[in-house]
Amino acid sequence: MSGEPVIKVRNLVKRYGELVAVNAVSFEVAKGEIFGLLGPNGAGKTTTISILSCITPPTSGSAMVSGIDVVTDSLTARSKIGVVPQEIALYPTLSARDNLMFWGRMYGLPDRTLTRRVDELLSIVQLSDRASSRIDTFSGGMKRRINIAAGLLHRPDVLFLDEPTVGIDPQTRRNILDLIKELNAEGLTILYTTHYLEEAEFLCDRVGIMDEGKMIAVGTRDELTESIGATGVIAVRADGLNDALIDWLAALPAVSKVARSEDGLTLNVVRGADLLPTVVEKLAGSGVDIHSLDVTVPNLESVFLHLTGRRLDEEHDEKS
Amino acid sequence: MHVRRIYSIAALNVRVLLSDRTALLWLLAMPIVFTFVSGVAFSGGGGGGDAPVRYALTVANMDEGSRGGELLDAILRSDEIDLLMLEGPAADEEAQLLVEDGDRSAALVIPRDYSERLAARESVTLTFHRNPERMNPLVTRRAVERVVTKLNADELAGRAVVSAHEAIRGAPSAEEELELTRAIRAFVSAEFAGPSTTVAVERLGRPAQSEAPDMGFQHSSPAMALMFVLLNGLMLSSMLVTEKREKTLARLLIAPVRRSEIVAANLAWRFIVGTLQLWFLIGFGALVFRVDWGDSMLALALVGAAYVAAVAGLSVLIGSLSGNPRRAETLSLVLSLAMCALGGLWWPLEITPEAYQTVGHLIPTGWAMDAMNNLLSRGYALSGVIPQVLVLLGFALGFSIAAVAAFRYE
Ligand SMILES: Nc1ncnc2c1ncn2[C@@H]1O[C@H](COP(=O)(O)OP(=O)(O)OP(=O)(O)O)[C@@H](O)[C@H]1O
Ligand SMILES: [Mg+2]
Repeated sequence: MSGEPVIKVRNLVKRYGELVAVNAVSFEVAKGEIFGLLGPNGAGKTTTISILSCITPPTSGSAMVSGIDVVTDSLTARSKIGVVPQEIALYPTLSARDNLMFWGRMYGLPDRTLTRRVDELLSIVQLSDRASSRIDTFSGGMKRRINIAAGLLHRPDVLFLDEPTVGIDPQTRRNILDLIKELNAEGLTILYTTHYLEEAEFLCDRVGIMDEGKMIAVGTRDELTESIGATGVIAVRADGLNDALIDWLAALPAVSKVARSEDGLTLNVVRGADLLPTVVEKLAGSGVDIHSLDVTVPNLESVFLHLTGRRLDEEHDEKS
Repeated sequence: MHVRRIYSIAALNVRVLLSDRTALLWLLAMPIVFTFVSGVAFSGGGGGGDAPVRYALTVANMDEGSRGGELLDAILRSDEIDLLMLEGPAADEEAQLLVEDGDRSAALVIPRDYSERLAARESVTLTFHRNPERMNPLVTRRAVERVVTKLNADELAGRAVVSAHEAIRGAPSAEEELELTRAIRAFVSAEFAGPSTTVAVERLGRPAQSEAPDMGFQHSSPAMALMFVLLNGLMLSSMLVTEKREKTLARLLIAPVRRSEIVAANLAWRFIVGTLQLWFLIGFGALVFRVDWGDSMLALALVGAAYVAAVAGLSVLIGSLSGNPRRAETLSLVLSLAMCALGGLWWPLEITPEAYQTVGHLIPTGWAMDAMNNLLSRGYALSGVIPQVLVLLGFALGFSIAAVAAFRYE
């Protein structure tokens, strides 16, 4: 990270009565970064974004966007922020163009520049040909794209996207993720919330993992997986294994544990990637007949599991 | 406050409203249907044109002499009612039963000794049975009373002239008495046809209208206009709640828009829609229902503006307080119908008990209807509605302040 961070959150707390929706959360997002907030339902992701977008006042703590305090100078802060809400927030009976024109006027853009900007954004989200159609005639994915365009009209410093891919087909989802990458490539800083860990891994430079209102880990993917001392698993199905070979494998410094299975063995490893060629060479050289070899790479799921003892995808299945 | 943003939000809401065709139906067509129906009901005339309606009166004439028949002839001659005669020796009991059972709304019974008692110069009572559960056409009772009054005048004049003769020249002979009473009756009849003193009603200050306004529409047109401006206005509260639901309000709050601007825009567009609706209904009433909206356009405009402002304020207040569009609509419906009933839009407050009238003046409808009555029926001009306008503006201000306070998102 270099320069002043675009988003700076310090000890943010939000209580709803007894419930602590956001509990002493701190993080920073650098200019040009895609930062992911990953967490299960009710983790406090939307609440954090709501505070940052000046909809919900925090109970305590501070949040700055582009150096502006979102609590004390919310009107200025709001002009720096683009938000793509979790729900489609558009007027269904109006056309895509009319919706975008309206939202642009809310940011004080003069009609002349606005018309050009709307055209530009319609072509970026590839909906120029449907500009005059009513939103309620759009498919879910098309609505999502207009929903994103509406957050970009005023060329914000930072774009907040709150689970923009919930409930849409894989093709559209892919389109939207690509769109976000493109926007980021042009220099836009992005704060992205999701409970899909593949999205966080695919998209984000850094990830903050939230659970029950707390930020339980922040870092790049590699930093996070390393921080838990983790680990991959290499599962080998093979004939002709013997005890000497197993002892040899167990003695390797990168291997933490070796276990025989019915038709082969599994190795728990710290840093699996560079270990694999060594293992394959040794086994093949000893006349072992390898049927299959399965490498499980450590990922954010393993991190979440390690930190909470729960799996991330088990939880959001309940919702959908 | 940023005027362009307020304008954009207001214009957008009007477009959203107009994109719903049934909304237009409710705003414009329904009030006209209701005005027509209740206007016809209040004018008491079902058929078209000016043909007077003839009511029927059930009669049992038990009189053994001829005076009962003369009375009925006189009633028939008055040309307002038809007589349904009951015959037979028990006609009086039959009349009573028919009215008791509700088969007839009213019946007149002339007693057996009617002629006899009149001849003996004694007073005599006609019985007018009426069933309180049936709508009782006042016009039948009035027709009977009018005829009886005239006959009484005849009778009185006859007795007066006979006793005058007695005082001056001694008791008249039988022939003289007959002569005297006949002459005096002819005189009284002539006088009744053209009494010496009459009251001529003239309207001054304004050109006489070719057609007099229909009294039914004269009440129903302003009442229904006030009712639908209120009903539709309050129902529009749900649009603000829908904005919360569909998160467009959240998006507005994310944009650099002040809450006060959002509330101001919501008040403004409701005010504009309500005003357009009200003037559409006023215009339609004047052109089609021939309603006379009074002498002062300015007074009418002020009453209308103050009332619409109060409705707009209440609408935004309900919208700010509600979390569910359906519930906001239900609340609006109940509230506006109650305010119509209590405010004298469905029946005049004058006929209600005092406590009812007091309640009617705790809500805007009571004051607005008062003002309308002052302009349309009592012939008042601007000065006659200033208090009502001020009270309505007070309501508008109070509701709007409460709406700003209640407006929040979460
Ligand atoms: N307005 C509110 N009033 C009371 N509780 C609330 C409110 N908004 C959120 N919460 C609670 O705060 C907690 C965090 O909610 P939040 O919406 O931030 O979670 P999330 O991480 O966005 O979840 P999801 O993945 O389901 O969107 C939840 O327990 C939620 O019920
Ligand atoms: Mg959420």
